[in-house]
Amino acid sequence: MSRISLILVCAIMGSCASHVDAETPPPTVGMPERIEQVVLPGPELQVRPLEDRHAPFVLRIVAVYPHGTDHRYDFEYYALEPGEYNLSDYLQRTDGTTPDDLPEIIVEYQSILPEGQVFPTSLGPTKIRRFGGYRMWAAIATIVWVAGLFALMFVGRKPKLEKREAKQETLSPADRLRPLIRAARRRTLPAEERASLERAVMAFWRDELDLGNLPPAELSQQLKTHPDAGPMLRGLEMWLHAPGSDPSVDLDELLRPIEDRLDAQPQPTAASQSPRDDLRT
Amino acid sequence: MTDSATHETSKRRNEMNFDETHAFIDRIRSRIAEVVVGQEVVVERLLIALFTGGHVLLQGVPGLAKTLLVSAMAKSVHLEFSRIQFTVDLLPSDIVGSEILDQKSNDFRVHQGPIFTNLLLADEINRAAPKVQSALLEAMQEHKVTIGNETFALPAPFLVIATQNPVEQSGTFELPEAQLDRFMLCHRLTYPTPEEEREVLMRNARLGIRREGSGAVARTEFDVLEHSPVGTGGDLIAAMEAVQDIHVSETFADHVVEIVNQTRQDDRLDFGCSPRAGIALIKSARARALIQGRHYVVPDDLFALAEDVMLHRIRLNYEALADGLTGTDVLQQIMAGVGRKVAGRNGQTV
Repeated sequence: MSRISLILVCAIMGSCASHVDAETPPPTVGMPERIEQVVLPGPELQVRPLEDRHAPFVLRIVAVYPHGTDHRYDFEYYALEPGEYNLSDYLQRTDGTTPDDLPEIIVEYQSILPEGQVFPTSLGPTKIRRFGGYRMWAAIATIVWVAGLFALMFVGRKPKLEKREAKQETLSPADRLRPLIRAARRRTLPAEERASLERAVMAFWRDELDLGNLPPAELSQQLKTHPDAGPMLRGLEMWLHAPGSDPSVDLDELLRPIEDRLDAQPQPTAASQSPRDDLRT
Repeated sequence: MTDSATHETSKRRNEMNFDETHAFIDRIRSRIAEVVVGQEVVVERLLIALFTGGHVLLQGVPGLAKTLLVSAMAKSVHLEFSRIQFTVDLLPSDIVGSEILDQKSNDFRVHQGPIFTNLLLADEINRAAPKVQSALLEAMQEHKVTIGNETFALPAPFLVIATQNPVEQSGTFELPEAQLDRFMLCHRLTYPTPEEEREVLMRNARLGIRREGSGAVARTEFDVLEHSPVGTGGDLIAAMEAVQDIHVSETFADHVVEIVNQTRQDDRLDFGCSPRAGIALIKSARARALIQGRHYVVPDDLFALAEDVMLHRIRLNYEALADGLTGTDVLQQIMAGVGRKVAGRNGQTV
């Protein structure tokens, strides 16, 4: 190495040192830094290959310039841990040999974490417990979701259906029909109950003749052809729907067969009698 | 003239009107039966709509003689008939009409669309975009259309018979409930019985060919349609008046109110029927009574028409659908149930 170059290196290192020693604080962990125009003796140098993935210091040669028999380098580097690092330790000749005539080029890195600060947990994969944590919660959520789905699909539907049927089956058609028939035969049936009478008569005959599953239109046709139900329903139609035919229908005679059938059945329950007392005037 | 004499004269006139109307209806049915085999229920529904000013939605697969039926009805009553095949690219102006620039006079003139007719067959209404559907439905409701700045009244009577295929749903725009409610009746067409189908085939086999210029084409049922009407516009008006004379008892109205109310209270339905359904039931029941030759409505009319009037006005909830129920099931259960649950107009239940 020529004397001039050594003087230059020392001057640069001195300036670096003085620069570091001055008020400029050393860089902090992770921050990249550059040093330019560093003259190092001998043939061209290169950065040693990085063999450790977790190496705390990384050096890169940005540019190389010939400098007489020596070379000038622009370096860029960063450290992942605080401390002092010698750049020369990270250099080798292009043929892979380690140079022994390089000066020390010391750089310092400091941490911005306060004293006693606990380092963050490493981001490496950790083994999840077989049952617990995320897996446990995912399993619980799945079970709850499936249970909720089944509850939506099945729970409460049958009771609701049964409740509806129970509500409809509280009284037999005969129990409902008896007070209406009696009031109609005495011609004391209020006008607003006439529709109820007609519907109840149809329901009674439907149950009496076991025609429960027929659609209403077909049911009506079947009942009209029945020797007992037919004349009664047609007579009711005349009385209830034909204009001005009210006096022409003998209700007492018309509705007698149905009351005879009702009387042949068991007597009505108390529940069925009380709400219709007003019809028995 | 005394009041009783006036009443008697009016009664006699109504009776004559009723008999003439009934004869007119029989002539229409006979004329349609010459070309359409079976489908008596559909014919009845179309007559109901014609006599009450309602509109009909026919649901059924193609090939069930819907166009032939409507065409035969239009010709038998001497009504104008148009058919629109609804497609996805149809525009409202294609139905209603538009203003066209007359190159000679350099002025705009109105070109009226096919909606200006008495009987309009809207084929596959669910294939058109919603704005086209709403344009038609608005005309159905208002009985008038606006082209440019001018409003035109539609001819009277104006009856829309719309069809939709219930099977194929891809590329269709389902009619929303509010628009379905505009149709007085929605009838679901069924396939003919084997006997009827055999008759259709034998009739078709006897059609032969028709010479056209120097060639010939196979004759269709449309070729055998009689062009002479069996009645006049006056007959139709008389029939419409006769419907208004059909007696509706308070008891029948109570039945209607009860069934409509039951649809609103049923927990298997998202929503029940609107008051329009009740009105449609009364109207259509009156027309059916006239067609059946009765002076008054009876529960049979209600039972026969309930499905066509109410089924498209109700919607099942998810629970009922998951149970595998259909609208028909629920409606029939409601109608069967009203006889079991006796409630008067005061709402008290026995």
